[in-house]
Amino acid sequence: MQWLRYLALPREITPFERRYLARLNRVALVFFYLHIPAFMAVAWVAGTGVLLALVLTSLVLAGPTIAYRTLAHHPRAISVVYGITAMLMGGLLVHFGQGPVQIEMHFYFFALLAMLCMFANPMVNIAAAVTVAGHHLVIWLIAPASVFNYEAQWWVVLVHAGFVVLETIATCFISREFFDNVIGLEKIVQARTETIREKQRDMRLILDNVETGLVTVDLQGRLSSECSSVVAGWFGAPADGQPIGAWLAGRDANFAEWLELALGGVSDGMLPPEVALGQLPKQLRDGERTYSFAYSLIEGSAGTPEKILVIVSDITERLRNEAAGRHQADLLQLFQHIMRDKFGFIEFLAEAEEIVKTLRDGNATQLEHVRRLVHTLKGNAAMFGMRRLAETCHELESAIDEEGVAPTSAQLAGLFQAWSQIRGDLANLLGEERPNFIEIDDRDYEAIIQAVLAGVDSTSVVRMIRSWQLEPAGKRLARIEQQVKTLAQRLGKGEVQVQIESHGLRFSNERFAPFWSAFIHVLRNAVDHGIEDGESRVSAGKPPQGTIKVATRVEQGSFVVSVEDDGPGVNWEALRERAGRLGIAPAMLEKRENLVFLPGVSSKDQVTEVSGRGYGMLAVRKACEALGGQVVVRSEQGRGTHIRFVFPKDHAIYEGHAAVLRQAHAAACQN
Amino acid sequence: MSKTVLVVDDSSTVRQQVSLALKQAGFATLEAADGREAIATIESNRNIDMVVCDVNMPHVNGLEMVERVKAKPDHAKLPILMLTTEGQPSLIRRAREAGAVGWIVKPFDANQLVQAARHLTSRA
Repeated sequence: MQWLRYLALPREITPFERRYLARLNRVALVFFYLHIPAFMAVAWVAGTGVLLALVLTSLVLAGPTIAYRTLAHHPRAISVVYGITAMLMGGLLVHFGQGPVQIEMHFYFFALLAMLCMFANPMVNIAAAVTVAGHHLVIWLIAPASVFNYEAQWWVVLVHAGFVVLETIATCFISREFFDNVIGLEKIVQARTETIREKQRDMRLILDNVETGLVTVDLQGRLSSECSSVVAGWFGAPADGQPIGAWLAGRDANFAEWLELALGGVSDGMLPPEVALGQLPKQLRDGERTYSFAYSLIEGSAGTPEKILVIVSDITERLRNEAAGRHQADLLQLFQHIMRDKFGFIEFLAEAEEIVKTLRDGNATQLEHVRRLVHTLKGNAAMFGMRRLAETCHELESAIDEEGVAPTSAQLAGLFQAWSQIRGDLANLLGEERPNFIEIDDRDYEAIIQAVLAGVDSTSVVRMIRSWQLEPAGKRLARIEQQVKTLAQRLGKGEVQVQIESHGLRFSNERFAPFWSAFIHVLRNAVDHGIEDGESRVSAGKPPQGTIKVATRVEQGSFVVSVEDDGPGVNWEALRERAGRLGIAPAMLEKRENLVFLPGVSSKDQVTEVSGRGYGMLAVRKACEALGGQVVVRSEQGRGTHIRFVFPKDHAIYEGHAAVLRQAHAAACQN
Repeated sequence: MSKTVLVVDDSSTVRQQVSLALKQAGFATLEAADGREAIATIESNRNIDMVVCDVNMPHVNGLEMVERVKAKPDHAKLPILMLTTEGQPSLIRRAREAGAVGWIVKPFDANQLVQAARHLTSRA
């Protein structure tokens, strides 16, 4: 049955085939009509009857004419009629061509059988073959002279028939091939186009719905217009052949320029393609949004790089979440610090606020002043776990040091922003209410009861109760102990012994606040410079763990804050040399203690975020002197450093319960 | 014999990182802290197969260095690879015009650096 399907064309007639057959059928009809004069001429030459030729040929022509007139909608049927017509015409030619060339007239059949392939329809060939076979057999039987000019045997007829069969097999094949590959081409193209369209539709569907930006560029940086919808939404639909730099320049000019440059690096082939690809820019900032760019090389059939697939993702949310996560961690740290030491924290806050205000109002005009403020803020911020603020300060400080000029307002803006963020967070954490309460411990409580019971005079008792408004030194020193330990950990100094002695003193928090905040530099110095590593300590005959002592006491009518370490001591020579290099006046160097406090003089070669710029100590001295105090530095090479801050003792200092107990004891003895 | 790469950067940290990556990949390295030192090293050392060079350096910067080295016909074929941060396209463009073969963006990927070094030194 398969061969039947091969012979019968598919039902559908395409517009192309219809047009082709209409034209061919018209031309063929004219061709058949031209047979009338031709056959009349042949009949006249052969003497077989010109009039008969006219009549018979016209009779045969009736068939195709009627078919042409009535079967306009079935052009293939007209062609089939033509196949039959052609063979009948062959019969007429052989009949009218009787004579010496009668046999040669048979050429007509085989030529026409071949020509019928033009109809691209095997059925036309079959119709012609059947017609010629039947016709030949019948005419041979009834009028042999009309077929052969000699007494042809039956096998001669068979030879003719054999030719027809073989030729028909060939012509059917040709017709069908002609149909499939030429006449049916439109259909084939249509089918293929449809497949491609379908694939494109699928592809488009993917490109429309994928959340990743996908677009391709050639190595010259020219875009293809095909891209995922999302990327067209971000940067506008790319025009075919538009340079990718121009496409993105409006978003991030630097990115675009860098991208074009780096694409040049990919196309020039100086570096391996993967390496050159690795130098393409990876992040584009467009206003609020950030996009990540990844690139993948598309190789051509020859294995050479041909295009680059650009993969774009909007990472704004991810970055935001990461930042929020970091902020959350910072906030937690902040909260822990507040819980641990609310007083200290509030004090820090007040001072930092003051610093930021001074910077914002432009009240710090001297470069060194600005630097000192930023430095102090940095140290304090680090102490309370405000990493972002500390980092911002550190960057600002580095910029000041490098450029040697006051920071621009744009540079300061980052700091203000970091600060206002902290203020905002704190408003949420603490509320704007400042706590206002008095803290006393058990010993204060016991002491006051004893004093009253012992009959201490009321002035003293009142003075003692008033002193509760002052900050207990023990609390302050406990805070300092914590700070030293944190610092030691951050600086990798390991465990450090911290000894604190408050001697039960109290002092005015308000008055000493600036001193304490600058005091952090002293602690930092003590930890950073005052503690050698374990090995050097052991080889110097010291215990491996360093010790730092911090004490407050009243000594000969003065209030003394002292810090003592058992480290290597100050290297005076190194400091002197450094100061000399900085061009500091020799007069300043006479008193060697001055060295510790000179701006820019630090014994450290490397500047860390914690210490080493040489401004910290100056800040402490200034704070101390502002309270009428003075600093005494004693240092012995190899043995350690002892720094004492000596303040005049007045109502801002209270000796605390020890004094009360003394008085209570005295009163008890009197009674 | 292993190929020798001259690493030029004013930051000792970067020099160390670059040298370490190259040494681990079997290269021998020399170091110079600025363009002036690098030019002197190139002049006195005929074995250098390649230079990896920072752009911003004191005294003689990377760009100037490339220009000066490439001005001498002896070094026409010496590959110079720049190390740069994103954001200095004009400098890189000029360095390329002056004869640098390409560049690697900092912070650099050690694998890419090694790949580039292998590629560039195998051509000579």
